[in-house]
Amino acid sequence: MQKSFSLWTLIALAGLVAAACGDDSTAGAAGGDGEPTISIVSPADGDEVTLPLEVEVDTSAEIAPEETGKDHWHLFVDGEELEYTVETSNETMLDDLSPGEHTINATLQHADHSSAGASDEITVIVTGGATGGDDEEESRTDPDYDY
Amino acid sequence: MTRKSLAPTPIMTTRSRVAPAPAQVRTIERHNRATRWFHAVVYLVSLTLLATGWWLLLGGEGKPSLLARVIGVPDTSLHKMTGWAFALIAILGCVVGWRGARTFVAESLRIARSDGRWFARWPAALKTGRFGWHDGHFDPGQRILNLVMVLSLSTLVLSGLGLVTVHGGPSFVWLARVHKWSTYVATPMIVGHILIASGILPGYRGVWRSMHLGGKLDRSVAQRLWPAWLSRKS
Repeated sequence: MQKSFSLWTLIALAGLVAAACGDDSTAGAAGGDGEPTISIVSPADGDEVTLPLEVEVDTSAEIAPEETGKDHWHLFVDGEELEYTVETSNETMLDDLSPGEHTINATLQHADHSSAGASDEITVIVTGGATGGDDEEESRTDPDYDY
Repeated sequence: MTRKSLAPTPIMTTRSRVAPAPAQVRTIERHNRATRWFHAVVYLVSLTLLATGWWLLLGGEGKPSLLARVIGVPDTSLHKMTGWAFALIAILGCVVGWRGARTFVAESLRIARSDGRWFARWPAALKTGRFGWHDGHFDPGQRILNLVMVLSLSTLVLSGLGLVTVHGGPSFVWLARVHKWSTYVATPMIVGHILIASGILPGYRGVWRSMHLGGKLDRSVAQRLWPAWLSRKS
């Protein structure tokens, strides 16, 4: 019994040590020069935009759902790091911003949601069409429905 | 009523210098203080892991839970930090309390012929409290729960450590599957344990005291659930 107890302890300790020491990610976030990158290519920094707003990023890693073990990116607005959307393709839509100036943040994340060490931030000015995003979305996507 | 009938019994008198015999004491300590504190820390950490884990599993990522808002970190980070804490507590508990851990495993691995009869009476006993006799430190149901819970929690910890170590890639995919399926096994075990230990079911009324508020378990409850253990202790 003591042997099995010691074995479990050893396995657990080995796991802890490996986890504490290892950062040899196999997620493949790094680009050609080894540094992971993410940059917001659209819209451009300082643009005046209307909603819905398409945000497009360019990354050094392949973007895919986390179930695949590949990287994804987080999108958040005005520095609110706790409230973000998980993005699994290079393009996404933003449709609930109030009129005015906003910062748009993008961070590259590993499949386990740890930071891949790359982020980008731009500022945009939203002009008009900022409220009632849901209604706009409905009329935009379902124009032929006759209720 | 006669004067004689009003005379205090030895256990009731506060002036008696004669220490009451074990059988006369109404309560019994089933687990020592260290075990009770270890249990409390483990379940607080486990419940945090369970809550944040299910929150993420059900698509709550990016929508901070109340706990995440209070602490000011995303649920993913909270889940990982708590996972590390759980791993450290588990190892510390096994190292510092190795005698207790050894007894726990040994007693959980017991099998007796009377176990079948105990299981046959168990559904009705949930309501009546008339459990079958067994001679273990844990009843046969507890033994199964202990083993499944320890194995599934160990798998969760090890796969979790693997997930945060590899970050991604093919091994991540497999570890994530193991982590998820271990969650599906551990969750009903934990919920079942809470249901039974809380004493909501009539047959298990009063059992929660064995691990809380000084661990003074009523002897009648111990007699109902662990009769042979009580005999050995008395």
